Amino acid sequence: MSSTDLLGRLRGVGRFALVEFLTMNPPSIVATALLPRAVVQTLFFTVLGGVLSGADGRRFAFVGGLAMSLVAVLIGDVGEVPVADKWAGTFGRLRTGVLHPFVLFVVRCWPYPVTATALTAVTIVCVGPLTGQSGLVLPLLSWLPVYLLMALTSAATVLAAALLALGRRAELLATNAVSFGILLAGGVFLPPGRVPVVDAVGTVLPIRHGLLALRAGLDGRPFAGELAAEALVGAGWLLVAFVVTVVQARRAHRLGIDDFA
Amino acid sequence: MRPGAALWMVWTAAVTQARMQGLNPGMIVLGIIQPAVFLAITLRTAERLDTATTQRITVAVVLTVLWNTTIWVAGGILRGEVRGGTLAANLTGAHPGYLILFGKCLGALSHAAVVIVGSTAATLLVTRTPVRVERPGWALVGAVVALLSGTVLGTLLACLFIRTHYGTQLSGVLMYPIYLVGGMLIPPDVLPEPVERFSALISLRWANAFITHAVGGSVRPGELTVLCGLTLGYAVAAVWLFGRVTHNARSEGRLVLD
Repeated sequence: MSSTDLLGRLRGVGRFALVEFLTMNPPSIVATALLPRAVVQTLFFTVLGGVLSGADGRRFAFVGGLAMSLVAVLIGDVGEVPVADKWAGTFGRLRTGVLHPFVLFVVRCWPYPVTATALTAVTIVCVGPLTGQSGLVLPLLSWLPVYLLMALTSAATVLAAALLALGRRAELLATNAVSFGILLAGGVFLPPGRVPVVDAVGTVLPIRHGLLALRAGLDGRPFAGELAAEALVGAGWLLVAFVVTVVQARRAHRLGIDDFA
Repeated sequence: MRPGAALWMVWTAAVTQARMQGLNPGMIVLGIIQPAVFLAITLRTAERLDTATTQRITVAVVLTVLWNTTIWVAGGILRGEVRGGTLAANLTGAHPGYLILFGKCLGALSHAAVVIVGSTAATLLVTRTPVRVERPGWALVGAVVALLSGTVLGTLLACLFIRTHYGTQLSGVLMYPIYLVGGMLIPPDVLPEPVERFSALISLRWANAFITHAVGGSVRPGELTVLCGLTLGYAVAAVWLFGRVTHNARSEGRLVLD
């Protein structure tokens, strides 16, 4: 397959991803459901942080709550990408296609982290002034690429969790476990260093290193190491997703069954 | 209709729904993981963790999770009836269809409440956080009325969600506003005045206040009265809305009779 041919096919999958995204989330739903949810969720965590531990807690929860709003967008829809094929019975077709099923899954996920990051930008602008943190709005907007990185690493983790659990029809449990795992151990609301076991779990989850980098950057401290760690965690989960897809595809071929059955 | 027959029908619907629900993945997430994580992050973040704060946070987490379960589980029951093709049978039975819906919501939330309280107790034990309940009888009364209030809210939401294809997204939208203004984890007095006034219309705020006070040792009948009054108001709205929804469904021929 020539590179032009490959690019054409990838572009086709990317267009399909957009159609799939817009079918589940038309602009009216993005504006009336996804955006208000991102804003109010972040507002809730920010106010709660202030109630429980004062101004410092409010600032900590604002920065972390924004990352949690990314996860909320990704949890349902990225997990749905392979689930949709399972329920539609189209895995067999994907397996026999020119592009590897893993490539198809990954490319079909692209609209979700992009949308989640865009919603986060709006949330920063809305929640900052509402919670008396207008001074954080511009600095946080300048760190939006780090939120995009966290959205990508989280999407990779959700995809891997969904693929791992799909055979047992437990994708809902697996993807939500990722979400609550991030809320508990991602340094979103609970500052690192309070519960050692939680800290240990957090090191292999997305968001945690990204938030450490972002907070270090906001305070003017070095952040490159944590940023690299965040990217590494995302790559690790992407590798898990790849291995699961390959194993399932081979198993399906060998046993003559539908993938992930 | 004899009251005994109505009660029997509500009971049968409740038991059927609770059995259907079991301990499915959704219930594990909502009822077990969620209260444990919420308790862990709030208790470990609080600056001063005295007895009163622990009691307040514990009651608030249980009610917050109950609200979430109301949206995701009870709110989807009517959608499930349409999907399963059983809505038509419910509406053409000898008894009012809203009694079946109410019974199913009650079964769903009672089952969820047992799981939520169990998970909360286990988390408190594991984290060695003692919570002393000073007036257990009154706390139980508050919990039962809160459950009934949640059930009526679930019935109301089920009627709302049936009108749209985007019920899941709307469920997500409704979650956090009530977290924010429902007077549970966030005390109403930290909210701006108009928002605080609005939060007085949410029954969970009064349930939270009454149960927290009972757990702390004081009983405030006024809070219980407001909780009962609001629940009654929601019930009237739910019966009216159910009538509207089913009337529209009948006139549009969407009762899934095929």
